Amino acid sequence: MNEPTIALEALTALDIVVLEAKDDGLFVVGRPPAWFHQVFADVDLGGASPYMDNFLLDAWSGPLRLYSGVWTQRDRNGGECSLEAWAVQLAGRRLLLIHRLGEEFEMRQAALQQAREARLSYERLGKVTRGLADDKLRLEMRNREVERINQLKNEFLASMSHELRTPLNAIIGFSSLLAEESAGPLNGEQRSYVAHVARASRHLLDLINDILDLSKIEAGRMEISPEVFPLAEALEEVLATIRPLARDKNIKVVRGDSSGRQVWADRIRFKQILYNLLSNAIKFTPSKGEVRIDAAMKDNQLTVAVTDTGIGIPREEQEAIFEKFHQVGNGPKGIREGTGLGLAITKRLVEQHGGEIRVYSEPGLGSRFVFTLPYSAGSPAQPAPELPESAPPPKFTAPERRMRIAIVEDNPASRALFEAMLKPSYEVACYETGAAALAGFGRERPDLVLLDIALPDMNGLDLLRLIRAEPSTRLSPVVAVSAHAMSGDRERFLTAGFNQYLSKPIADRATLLRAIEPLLRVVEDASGRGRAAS
Amino acid sequence: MSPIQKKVCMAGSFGVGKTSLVRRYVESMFDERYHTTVGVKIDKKQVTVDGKAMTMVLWDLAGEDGVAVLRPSHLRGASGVILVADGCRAGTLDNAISLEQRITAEIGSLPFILALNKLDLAAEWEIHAAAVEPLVRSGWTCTRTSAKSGAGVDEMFLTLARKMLGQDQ
Repeated sequence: MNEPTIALEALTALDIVVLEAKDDGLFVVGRPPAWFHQVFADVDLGGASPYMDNFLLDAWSGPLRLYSGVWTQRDRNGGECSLEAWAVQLAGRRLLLIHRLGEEFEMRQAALQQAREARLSYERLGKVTRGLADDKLRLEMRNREVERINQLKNEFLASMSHELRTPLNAIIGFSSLLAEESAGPLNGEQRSYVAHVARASRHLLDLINDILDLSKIEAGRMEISPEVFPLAEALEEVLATIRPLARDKNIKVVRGDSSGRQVWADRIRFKQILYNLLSNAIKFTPSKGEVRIDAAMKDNQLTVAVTDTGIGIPREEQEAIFEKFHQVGNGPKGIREGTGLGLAITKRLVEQHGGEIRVYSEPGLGSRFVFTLPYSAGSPAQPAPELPESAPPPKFTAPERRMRIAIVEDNPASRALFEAMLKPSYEVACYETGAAALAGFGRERPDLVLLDIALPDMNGLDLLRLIRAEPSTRLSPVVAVSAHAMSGDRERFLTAGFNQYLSKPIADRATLLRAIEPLLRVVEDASGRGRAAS
Repeated sequence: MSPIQKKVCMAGSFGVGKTSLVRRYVESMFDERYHTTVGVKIDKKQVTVDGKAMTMVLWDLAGEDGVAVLRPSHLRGASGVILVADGCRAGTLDNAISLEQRITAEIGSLPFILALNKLDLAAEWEIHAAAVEPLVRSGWTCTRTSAKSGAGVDEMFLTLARKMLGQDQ
């Protein structure tokens, strides 16, 4: 018995027991020999080990050597033990080796766990990556949708602008003719009615222009083309428009010293900023009040201040006034004039130039709007000397013969308006279609053509090409008169070969004449030279 | 009279929560940490189903991956199967479907339940109703469980126990 005991001890050190199945059933399922528990006191085999039972069903009927695989079961203390077994048939003996797994198994399990955790992390990473890709796709789709909606919005704005400008052209133009009393004198009441119509229609036009501007700014499509120009020049142009408004309200406009100051900005937009601030100041200043504008240049920065003695702005509204559609004083005493967009546009225009705008105001005392504009490093380092005040354009002296102007316009009201504006000074021929115009030009060569763009039978651009192809009209100035007044339209028409572009509505006769007279002078000069040569 | 003993095999991909479902059922506990199962883990649960005492012997089979695969001998004597899938991993449902086919081929048709586990992470689920609907239509019993919260766990084992008892009648 010594040898088996030694062998048993040796195996104990390895946590292995070897059982031999005897024909007499010494080791059978569910009944391990008593000494087994001397080795694995806490391991419950037999009936309490379904896994071992299952393994033994295969153990002696299968191959010479069968491995059980690892299993974990409860031990007698309620803990867990992991085991593995081999059934071996050797020289007619049937041996069962049971190995209780220890530290080595835990390491094996830890390694497998790490591998699986890594795989789970990889799967999660894949999921996150797929999620990101999905998000990206969704974002791209949303961007495309936003672009599409923007496109629709732009088309809507263009269409709205065009459709509103056409009737406004008639309303504004005819009311200006009525106000001129060119068709007969008006009585006081009639003059007042006409003034109301003119004011309301200009308000509507301002609203359209402001909405278009704001939508351009917000879409990032407002392009500015900075240039250097004298402040005094731009200021004078704006004041020329502002003074009549101030006069109507008996408000004094004071212009501080601006001589020598240069501005680096988009000229048109700079004037728009000045106009918005000055017209606002007039609007909110009571009769006999004062509006003043000052400018200073310091550290390469232009500062312009517009100060009024108006109603002022409550402190809590001083930020909100730069928001869209905000109007000061929504209460009963509030003055609700204008579109509520002017200051929002002004702020964005100033910021687009790299400047900023602030307001200082005391209710009842007045307001002061101050904006700054950098004098860019790209502009001349030293302010150029101010140009002398530009001389007024030479007065157009009527030529020996009445010049002929062709109006090609399908809208009856616009056609009648232009005819009424031009007839006192020119021979006018009107055409409703492009074809009618071409036929008419053949009979009577016009000195200048006013051409609408949206004609029923052809596009104004196509008609222009035909006019330029015809020797008799090849050199005639052609002025585009269009309700297409979106960003870039002007450039598009001038590039196409029009000599001038006027957007509808045309404010009054003077505006129209200012646009065409220089062109007619050139025609007149050329024909004079022609006459002299002959 | 000794209670009826029924062998139940838990099968499914690794990491779907088989061990956690057993632990929740047997010990009413849950461990956030992941513990991979090597080989087979055996547990028991005494239950009374409709007045009948039953010992459920739960064979928690190591999750399948490239290394571990289902051993047919482990299925011998099983009375029911719980197929477990992780609701957050669509691939584990495919594997559960494949396992069902292999188990049926190996030991014939058995009462089984498909457990879509990790209901507590429902917001991250990749397995949606549309994927499960055809299985239900073809007669599968599908249930949503959370080993973490315990939602649906007892009910699932009880349903399987009834199915297994029904099989005996």
